[in-house]
Amino acid sequence: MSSPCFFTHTNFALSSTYRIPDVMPPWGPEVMAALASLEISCENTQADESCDKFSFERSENSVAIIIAAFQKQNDLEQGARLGRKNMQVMDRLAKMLAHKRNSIVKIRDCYARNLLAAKAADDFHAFRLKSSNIGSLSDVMDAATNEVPLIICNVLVGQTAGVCYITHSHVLFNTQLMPILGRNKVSLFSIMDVEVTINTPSKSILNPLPASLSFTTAVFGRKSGTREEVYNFIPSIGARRFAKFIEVLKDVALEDPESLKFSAKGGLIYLAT
Amino acid sequence: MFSLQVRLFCRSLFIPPLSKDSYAQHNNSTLGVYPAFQFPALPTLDGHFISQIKTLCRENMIISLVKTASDLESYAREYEISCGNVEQLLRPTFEMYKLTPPQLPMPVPLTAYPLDFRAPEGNLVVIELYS
Repeated sequence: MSSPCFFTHTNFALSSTYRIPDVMPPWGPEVMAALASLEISCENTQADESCDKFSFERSENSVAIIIAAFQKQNDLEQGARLGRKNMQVMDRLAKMLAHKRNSIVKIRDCYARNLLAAKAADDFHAFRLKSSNIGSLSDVMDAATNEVPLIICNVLVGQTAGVCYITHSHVLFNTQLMPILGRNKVSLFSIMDVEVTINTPSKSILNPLPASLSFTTAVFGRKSGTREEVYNFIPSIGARRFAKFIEVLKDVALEDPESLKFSAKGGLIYLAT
Repeated sequence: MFSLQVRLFCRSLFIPPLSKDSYAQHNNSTLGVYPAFQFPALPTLDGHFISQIKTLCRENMIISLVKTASDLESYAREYEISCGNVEQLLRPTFEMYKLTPPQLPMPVPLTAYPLDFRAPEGNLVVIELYS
């Protein structure tokens, strides 16, 4: 096996550092079958004197058969390796989804166990009762007093500053209606009723404000797909992050808690075993 | 692309027509590993040549594998970044309520997952090929 290779290829140009690859068979069952079929066809060709023995076409075909056989074998390996990668990715996604969900649920359900959270929830409920738009009928009926704010951030609504409270099901804005007199305006929105749209910021240097967000709701009585803007604001935590967080809250609200069954260690890998 | 590779291989494989003496010399070379065609046509598929085909096919497979795996990886990474953002947003709230946040999941290396594959080369009898 130490004899030099007489042909060259761009990938295997002979040089002082060139090492002849390991050519020890076995090549695999598919290639073995291809080589065996080639041998049979070779014997048949020998028997048939009229056949053109010098045909380049036959040599091309024979090499193509070998390549196809190798590719078939490699496809098996590729499929198995991609399957493993897919399992890892699924596992990571499931763990991240569970982490998001656990973080939100832990704050959401801490009203009875945590005094600070209970106080924040009471403040939120007091603001909620003052809101100018109390929300949909289901909001009025299900007005729970134990909604713990998940995020409290500053917002800019038009020309006035305010504070935004996000719970697992509502977004509440408490803005200064009249800065000098100190009157406030409270607006409440159900997360499931609104769609969040990011308005890209103007590129003009005269308007240096960052991206803003719009809450839109479906308009009743008009054809489906018609929506109207009900609120526009600029959150201090960033429009994109705010919108993503609302999406996460919607996902958590809609998903079945039983859909992600984890073991104590968590992750799909432990489910398989 | 595929037929071009085949043509390149075939062109590199072909040797000038040999006399019967030179054929006798060549017959002792590694070309005689596996008889595919008889003299003076393409005499054989050389073991080295098959090995190079194998390497080329494997390279192509790895390129394709890495490309697909990269797409999966970037998707998973985006999701992890999104999870990191949620973590950052909720951290001040956990501090405000003096709660302990849930622990971030520990990353598990790819090799920890089972690979359901056995090299097909492992199932062969070597003697048959060289006999």
